[in-house]
Amino acid sequence: MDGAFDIDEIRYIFFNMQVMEGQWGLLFSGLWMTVKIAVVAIIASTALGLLVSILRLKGNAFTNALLIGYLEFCRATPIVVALIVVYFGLPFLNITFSPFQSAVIVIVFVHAAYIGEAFRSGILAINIAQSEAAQSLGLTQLQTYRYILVPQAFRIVLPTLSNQWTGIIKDTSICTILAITELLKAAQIVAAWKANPTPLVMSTLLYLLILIPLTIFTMKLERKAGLKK
Amino acid sequence: MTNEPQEKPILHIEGLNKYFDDLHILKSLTTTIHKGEVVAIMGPSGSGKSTFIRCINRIEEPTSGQIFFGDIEVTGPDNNISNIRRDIGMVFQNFALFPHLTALENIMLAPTKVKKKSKADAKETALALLKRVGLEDKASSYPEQLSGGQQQRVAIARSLAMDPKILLFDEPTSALDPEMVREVLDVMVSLAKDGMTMIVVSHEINFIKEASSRVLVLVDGEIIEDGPSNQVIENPSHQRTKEFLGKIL
Ligand SMILES: Nc1ncnc2c1ncn2[C@@H]1O[C@H](COP(=O)(O)OP(=O)(O)OP(=O)(O)O)[C@@H](O)[C@H]1O
Ligand SMILES: [Mg+2]
Repeated sequence: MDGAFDIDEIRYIFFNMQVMEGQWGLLFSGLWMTVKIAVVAIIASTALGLLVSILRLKGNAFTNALLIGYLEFCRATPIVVALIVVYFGLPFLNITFSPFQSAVIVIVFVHAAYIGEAFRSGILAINIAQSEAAQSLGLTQLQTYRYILVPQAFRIVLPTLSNQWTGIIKDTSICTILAITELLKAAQIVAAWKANPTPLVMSTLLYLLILIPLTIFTMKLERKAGLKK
Repeated sequence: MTNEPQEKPILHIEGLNKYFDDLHILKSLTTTIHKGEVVAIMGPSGSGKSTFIRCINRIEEPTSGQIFFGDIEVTGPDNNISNIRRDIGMVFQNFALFPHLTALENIMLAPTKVKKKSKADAKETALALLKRVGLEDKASSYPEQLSGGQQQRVAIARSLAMDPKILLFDEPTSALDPEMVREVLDVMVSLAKDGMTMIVVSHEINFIKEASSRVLVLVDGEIIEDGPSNQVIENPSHQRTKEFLGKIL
């Protein structure tokens, strides 16, 4: 059967620009929604992750047990399940979030756990002499974290962080189960309506529009950090 | 001793003990240091020199005993230790510069963040200090771009930027290549000549002869010798001191 591998047929199925005619607007508005979720989630999960790491390092046995439980919960739970619980489950407790809020909350909650672990090991990798030098100059513990430990930890964990950020962008696609038209959902709508998978293929290319700048951004950060090491 | 009784000591340590688990490292040390004194601390490895000097600003927590810094009890439970540390400079064996900051930023950090000095003020002081330690052209270098001797001089400038009343040094030249020892000692000698009060853990006999007025010898967590440098080095009273000096001289 030569038909299955016919180049024209592949083009007709997966790269059918006629299908895309008039549909780019919906895809780009989906892309914009994905960017919004991702940017909010990246900033919030990084900040929360930092907080988690410091709580882990400074906390007592109780907070440590709590935070270890939190991490293990995030490891064990598929992110879609967490989203379903927050969006469809919490309303039973009269706690209702919008689809956008639910998506951000779940992504931040899960990724902050991993980012927290990364920061924790980054801070632990810094020589104790750095804290001692800072404190001998009169810096408080908080100032020591803020000006000495966290900036250095950032440089150490940047590669891990960049992986997490990429993961967050990919995880925005869980929103397809909600009434929220981000990139993948937009592509699914068009694909169903046109009965052709080309929009899905196009959506993968549009994800690259976010991932490539992010990669360039983190590479620049890494180069700068390398200089200051 | 010829201490003027009317002048309050800058540092008075009374019955300082330090345990690491069951190990009794510092054994009820008592000593008094006056303004302008340059006190060298010598002693064999493991005798507790670093532990002692680190207890003074409570980077190491003393197990018991009292430390008075002027009128302030460093070991007082209600005292804000960060505030006290502003006035006690410390220079480490391995420099401990902040690798993510330039030489200038290393020196400016504590004056701006701790003393809330203006950036302009702090920068002016920092540049003057870099000049003083002979590194005015290294202001924008990162630590990894500096030699060990240069890093240690920046570290001294960083301490001086807080205008400390006393400076503690823990073997400031022992991590350096021999050809860099002198440039660091020169800075320390000039500080001593300017009247800076210093406690220096060091076995650099030339520095001790040149700049220090007094030597303490610490063996097994006890001060076995305390006197003018010449006397302790030329004519020690303890057999342990003689053995120990014989090894390093
Ligand atoms: N954090 C620690 N935990 C347990 N033991 C320690 C600790 N720090 C130091 N010690 C022990 O305390 C003793 C004194 O150590 P210290 O570093 O004060 O000696 P030192 O006189 O400075 O030696 P050196 O000349 O080698 O620097 C040593 O036996 C050391 O092993
Ligand atoms: Mg030592």
